[in-house]
Amino acid sequence: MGTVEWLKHWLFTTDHKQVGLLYFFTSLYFGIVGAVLALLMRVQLSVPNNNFLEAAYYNQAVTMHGLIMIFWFLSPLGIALFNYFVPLQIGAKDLAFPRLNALTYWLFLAGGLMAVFSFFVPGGSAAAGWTSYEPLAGPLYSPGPGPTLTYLGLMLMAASVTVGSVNFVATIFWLRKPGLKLMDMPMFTWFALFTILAMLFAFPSIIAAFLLVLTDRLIGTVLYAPPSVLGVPGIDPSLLWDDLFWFFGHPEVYIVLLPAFGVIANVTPAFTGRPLAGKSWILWSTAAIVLPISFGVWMHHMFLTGIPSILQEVFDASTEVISIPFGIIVIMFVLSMVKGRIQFKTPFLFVVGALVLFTIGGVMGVFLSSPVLDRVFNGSYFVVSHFHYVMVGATIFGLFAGIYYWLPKMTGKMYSEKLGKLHFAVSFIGFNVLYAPMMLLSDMPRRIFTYQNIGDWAQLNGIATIGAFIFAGAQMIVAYNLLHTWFRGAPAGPNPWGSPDLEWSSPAGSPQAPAPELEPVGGWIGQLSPAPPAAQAAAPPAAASYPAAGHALHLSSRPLTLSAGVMLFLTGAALYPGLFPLALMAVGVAIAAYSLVAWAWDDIRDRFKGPAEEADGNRWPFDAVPKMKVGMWAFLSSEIVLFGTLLGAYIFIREAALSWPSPSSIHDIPLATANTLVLVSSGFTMAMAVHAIRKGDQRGLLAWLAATFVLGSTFIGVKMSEWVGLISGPTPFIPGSANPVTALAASVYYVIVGLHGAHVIAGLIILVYLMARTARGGYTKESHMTIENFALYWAFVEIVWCFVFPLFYLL
Amino acid sequence: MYSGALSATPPTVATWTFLFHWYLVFGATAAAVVIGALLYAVVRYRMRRGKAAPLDHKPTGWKVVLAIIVIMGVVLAGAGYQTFAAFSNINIPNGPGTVTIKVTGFQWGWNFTYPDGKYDVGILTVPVDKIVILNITSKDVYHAFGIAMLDVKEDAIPGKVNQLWFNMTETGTYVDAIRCYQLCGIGHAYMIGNLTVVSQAAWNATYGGTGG
Amino acid sequence: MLTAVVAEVITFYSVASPDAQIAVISTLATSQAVAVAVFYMQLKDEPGSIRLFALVGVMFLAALLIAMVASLG
Repeated sequence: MGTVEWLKHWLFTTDHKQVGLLYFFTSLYFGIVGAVLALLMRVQLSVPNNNFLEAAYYNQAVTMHGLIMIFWFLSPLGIALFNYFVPLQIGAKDLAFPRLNALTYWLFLAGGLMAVFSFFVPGGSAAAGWTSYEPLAGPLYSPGPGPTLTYLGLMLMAASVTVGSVNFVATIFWLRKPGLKLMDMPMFTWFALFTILAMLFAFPSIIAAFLLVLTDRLIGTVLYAPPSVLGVPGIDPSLLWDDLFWFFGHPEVYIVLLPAFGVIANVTPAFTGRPLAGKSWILWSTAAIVLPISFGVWMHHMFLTGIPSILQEVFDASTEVISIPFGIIVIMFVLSMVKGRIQFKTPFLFVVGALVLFTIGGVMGVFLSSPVLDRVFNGSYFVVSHFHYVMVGATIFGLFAGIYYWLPKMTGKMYSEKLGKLHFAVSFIGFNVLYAPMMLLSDMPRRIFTYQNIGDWAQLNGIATIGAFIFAGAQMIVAYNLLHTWFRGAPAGPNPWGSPDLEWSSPAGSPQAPAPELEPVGGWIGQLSPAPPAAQAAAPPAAASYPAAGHALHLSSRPLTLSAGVMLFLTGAALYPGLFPLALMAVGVAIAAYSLVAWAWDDIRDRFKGPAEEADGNRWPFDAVPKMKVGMWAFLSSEIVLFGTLLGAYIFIREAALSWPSPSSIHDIPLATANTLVLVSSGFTMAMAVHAIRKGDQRGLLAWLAATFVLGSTFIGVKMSEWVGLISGPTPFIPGSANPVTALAASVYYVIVGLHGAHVIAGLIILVYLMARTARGGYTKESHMTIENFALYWAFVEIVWCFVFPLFYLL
Repeated sequence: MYSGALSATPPTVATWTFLFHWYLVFGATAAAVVIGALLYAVVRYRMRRGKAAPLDHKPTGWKVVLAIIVIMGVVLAGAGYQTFAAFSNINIPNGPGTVTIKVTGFQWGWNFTYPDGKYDVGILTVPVDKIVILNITSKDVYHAFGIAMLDVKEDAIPGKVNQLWFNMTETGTYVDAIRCYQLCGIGHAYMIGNLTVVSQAAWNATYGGTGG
Repeated sequence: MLTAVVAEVITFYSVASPDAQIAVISTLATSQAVAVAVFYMQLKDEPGSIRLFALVGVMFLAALLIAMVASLG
């Protein structure tokens, strides 16, 4: 197959296995970047008073190490496995929305490229720690385009995750093969479900938090402005950031961890020769306790911020409570070894390693749950040790178990067991040499680029650095092993582990995989490597080359171009002012707009054919609910958290501020009220539109859609004139106002009302598409799901306004 | 933590150390038990040639789970209780006989303002055997003020005042006892201060009679 | 229907009462939102699982808001 075809194949694919492989290799790349940053830091810290890496560079390294490892390595590695194996495990042909899936990959890559690129702009990248505390991360103390680029890249990743979680929710609930009940799903898919549900509800909070950072940096709002600059009595921007960030931040660490637990739960039975102990206890523990309570422990990151003692006690208690289900889960895993017939293959070694390291890290977490003990540990290397034990120890070792376990499936070849065991041994030793000394460094602050020669800091740091290089060196072993397997591995056979799970049931994936002539033996990677002669002879003749047509592989260039356009636009925005950035922005908008229109046109022409759905697949508990509606509700629930977090921030600010301008002194309330009535009426017309098409009345549908469009546009038009009025005049209501309270009030007003307006405008654009499709007779009485789903979205936008209007105009 | 050189243990250290040991005993035991059980199980039940087929595996009953919950619950409740009992480290003692000093963190140093209005940068001077209350804030970004040898620390947040207290039991000059524990820019590693503990008379002489 | 509710909201703000306003307006706003959700979005017709999507988010937000405001102590 020619290079051009090969390129098109990989750049435009929407097939879940290939997207999974793209995620896999890209996350490994970012993992290497993060590891290099870590090694640079460890070299700098190996001896006291070192000057290998100056403070400014060190701070960039520590910040980007954290961000890249968490957002562009650990989670995407889990997502890679989700992409590849969740559909196989439930017997689905692909994810529910294949093009959206490809989009999540390209957005992830775009965001990561922006983050890496930020190193090379004047001033360097973000340097305020991955926790990006304000006001340090704001425009005053971290000036320059670098941090902006980093944070914009992070927003792309967050958008990617949100779209992806909607996709997986719809897939897991809707595309299971007939007879596969939820309780029968393999453990990995269960943990995938838990992870994505957590992502759905957690990521909007980080989007909200960073949205405010970005408006501060890009358009001059003062939401996190320090008191030395703004000085609104009572206002505490640092605490606002703390709350918004950690509300996301804590569930995030479980989001990172759960895929590894899913691997452990899935992989263990294959090597113990007995079923998992207490499978339902594990599931209930995770679902009923870890997930909900993970959203109720975040203030244990804020014990030292001066919150009232009672709150410290409450969050101490909630954090301790959350360790109980983890205890249950770990003990169930231990019990799963009892009375088994255990084979010490590489995946299993990594499982055991992960459990040991998680236990150590988890116990350290209990220490940190105490506000009193935290007075010593906060901001010290004890914390660094704790989270690396769970994030690297448990998560990476767990994911390695999965990689080794599924490598035969992905490549059709078997890895070298000896090298695998060596990799495990050296990794385990290196890991502990690196992180155990840090447990003793509870008086050494984090994120310092150098230290004086006091106590045993020099020795402990030196040992840790040695451990870092051993640990990094161990990864050379697995890299070699992977490459060796790819090119020279022995064929693995269809099910080397004898697992009953669905993904092994044929050499080329599940029975519902694309037809055999499209799926080469050994998976797609196997096709690229020289196959051993025996396997090749057994392969169907047509498997010798990739399928020719794009149709069967569901190729689409739109996800790639859309992501590229958005990336160019945001990069330009970060680098602005200048002619070149402006050009970037223009080109980016053009490409993105073209992609969106082309995507929609593809739909109007029904050009993209995703895999057909099972007619009677198992869909409990959404039996009566169509796939797109599940997707839409998942999306809306994340939007609820997004707007809710922003409105919550607003309420927090209002509560804290000692004085606030009264709405009647700023806004034209009768006008706003009239505008509200306009929006409310548009909700009514939209409901009538749905009513019309349910009766099969296409002309009525078009009429009501048009009415909705007119009313929506009026709303926006009136709002724009309202804003013109606000920003002109003798005392303009703008973030740049001389009066600090006005500046703050204006900042929060424009961000929230603006975000709502953007949602309205997006709705109007979609309305145009809907009207175009209706005019061509695209919707009938039987098939008009899109209209119903859009009505849900429009109603949601109205609900948001139900709260925004009184909060900003009346109270 | 590194208060080995002191002859009389300051109260904040005593409280913290007791609590830490409590958690350490139970935490280390729990980890040892779990890891020990895990390693024992994998060794004991490893596949041996000629061994019989796997034994019968009953589903894990609720009693096991209940036992786990109860045991963990009791230990954690005990830990929580001990922490609440140690809240004296966090709650600021009121009443007379205390000295209050204002601490302002800035990029990149610590400014100490005494009750009489005098101020120092980088050196905190306190009287011995006296409850010292620090009102901590920041002039610019988020910092964190910590004295490791006294096991005390609080965030220094711009626009907010956080308090901590300690009672130092021995005179002397403790170099680099004060550090910043929150990344605050390129000077973060150098935001260090000395703690000087002098007699009450000496302190009064320098910082006026407003103390005490 | 909803148009009437909105009219009520305006009436109430004009009558200059103090913090009781907050309580009344919040109640009105919330009931508006619920009405839209239940009727326009046909939540009443959907199985409970869909309602969960909406409710879970709201519950987490409630926790966030309560803790945030409490921390101002």
